[in-house]
Amino acid sequence: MTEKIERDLEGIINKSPAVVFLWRNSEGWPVEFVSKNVNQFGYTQDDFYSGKVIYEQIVHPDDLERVAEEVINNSNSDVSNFVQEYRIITKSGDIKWLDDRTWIRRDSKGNITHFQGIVLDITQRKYLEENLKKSEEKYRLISENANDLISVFDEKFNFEYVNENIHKSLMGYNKEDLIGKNGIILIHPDDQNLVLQSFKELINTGEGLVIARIRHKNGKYVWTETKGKTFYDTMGKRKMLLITRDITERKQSTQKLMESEEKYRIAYEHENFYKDLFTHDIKNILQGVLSALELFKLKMKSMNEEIKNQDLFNDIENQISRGSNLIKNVRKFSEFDKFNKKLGKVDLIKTIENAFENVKHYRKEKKINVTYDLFSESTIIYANNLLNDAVENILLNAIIHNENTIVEILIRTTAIKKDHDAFIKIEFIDNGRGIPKYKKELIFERGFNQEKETTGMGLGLSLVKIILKVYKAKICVEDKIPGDYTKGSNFIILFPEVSV
Amino acid sequence: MARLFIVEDNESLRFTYIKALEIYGHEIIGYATNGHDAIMMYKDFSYKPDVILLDHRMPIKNGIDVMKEILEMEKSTKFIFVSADIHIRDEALRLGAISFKEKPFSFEKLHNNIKKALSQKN
Repeated sequence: MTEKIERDLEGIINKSPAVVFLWRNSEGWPVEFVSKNVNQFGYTQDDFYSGKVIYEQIVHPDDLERVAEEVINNSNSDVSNFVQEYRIITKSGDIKWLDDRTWIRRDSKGNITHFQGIVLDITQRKYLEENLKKSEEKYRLISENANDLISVFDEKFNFEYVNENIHKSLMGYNKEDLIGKNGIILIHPDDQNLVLQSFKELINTGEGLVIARIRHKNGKYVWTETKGKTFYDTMGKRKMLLITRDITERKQSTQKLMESEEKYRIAYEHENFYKDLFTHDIKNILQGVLSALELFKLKMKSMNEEIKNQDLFNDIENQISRGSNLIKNVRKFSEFDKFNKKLGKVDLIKTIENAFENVKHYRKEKKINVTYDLFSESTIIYANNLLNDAVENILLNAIIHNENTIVEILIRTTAIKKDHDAFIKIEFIDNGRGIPKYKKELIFERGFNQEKETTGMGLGLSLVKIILKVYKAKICVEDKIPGDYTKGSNFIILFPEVSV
Repeated sequence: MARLFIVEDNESLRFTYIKALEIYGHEIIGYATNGHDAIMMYKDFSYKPDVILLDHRMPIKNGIDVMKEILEMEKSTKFIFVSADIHIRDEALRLGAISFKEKPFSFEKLHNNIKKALSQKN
């Protein structure tokens, strides 16, 4: 019966993963008994019984010293059993982790005679533990080196984890300042309701986002954006992982942008106000002056009275025309960007002819002779309807700044090559008072007023330059007779040639 | 010459328009100082004007709206806009104005436009 029980027990042991050992308390821990299932490590019972394999030989060399020390320490204490974890080397050379539970056997005098143990292969568990440890280490490393504040909270919004380095550097807090404390105390009073609402939403939906001010340890508030996710810890408890970013700079930029937009809006409103002032009110004033003047002249005529000072009336009319042109040019300047800059093919000569028709009566007291010297009857360039304004301004310039009774304007076109590029060159050569050398570039600048005591040019030539720039054309002015500006001017424009 | 109805809120301009156009030989059958009165007066004309000189920016109702309402009553009405608001030029012409005079303009040119409108009518 006893033998049968022993056989049954041995059968049960051999089918279990636990290997039973009985070691003698001698050098090398010789094995007096080992269960048959030691073969899971590649060894046989005989390997140990014959002394071919001594137990300490299979203990991993790196662990042997520790294992031996623990055995001695436990042997010298009052304990009757102890637990060890260490590695052995299997017969095939693999390494296995063992959980070794050992009972100490003593004789009647208390001397240790044997160690009786059960060892379990825990290699798989050790492997998982090692991987978990590595994984935790990796995430801790990421967390500690992140640029964002990373925190874990319980369901009551209490801090459980913070990446301390970042909390310290960005918010001034140590781990001890936060762990166990409620997060809401750091939130700006005005944002607390919003944050609590977002926290509830996070718990309900598993995700959340909130922008709020958090108090720095120095008392100042920092604008932050926090994203949250819920997860369950190993104990099955729900936790909140929050990643918080300092968005103070972004907030400040947004604020500056809003302020800038407001300034721009106000400036735009002012621009419209002044434009309206020019285009409506001043025009009405000019209309009043002109109408009164004309009415006076009409009445004088109807009364058959000769108007004595015809020149005076003409001057007043001219001044009104100048004012009116100035207003038009201001409007064009202010709206230049809004104009349709789409270019198409335009006949330059026809444009010049039309422009001349518009300006030829500008000085009624003068006779204006325009002659053409054209390399072609039709010259096509890329431009738009603003070309007419540009040409009118150039022609007006030749008419206004001219004391001669007969204004002579020669318009000459030629096809030229310059730096391998083809251009249409057009010259407006007049017999006006001319432009001194130092003024030749200035006259195209905005704000330049040629001679304040006479007929200023307003925005005329600066507008011309801007319009021509759109056509990739260039303008300059030279003397009609080189070296003697007093004989008249030559306004030269180079238009890129249009390939037909 | 033409029978004219002048709609202009600016008193001094209205005065000079009337006096100058009378010298040019036109008959001023009436004038209005705002858009609302212009429409009321037009309805009351038993003999409608040949041409209406119409400002745009006026109290109560602007020139564009005045023109729309009058054209609904009488499609053949001739309007010459006399306005400083150049930005409404295209709209005015599209809706039916026969001419747009941007202020400041000369009476001689306005007179020519009226003559042209009259010839179109006849």
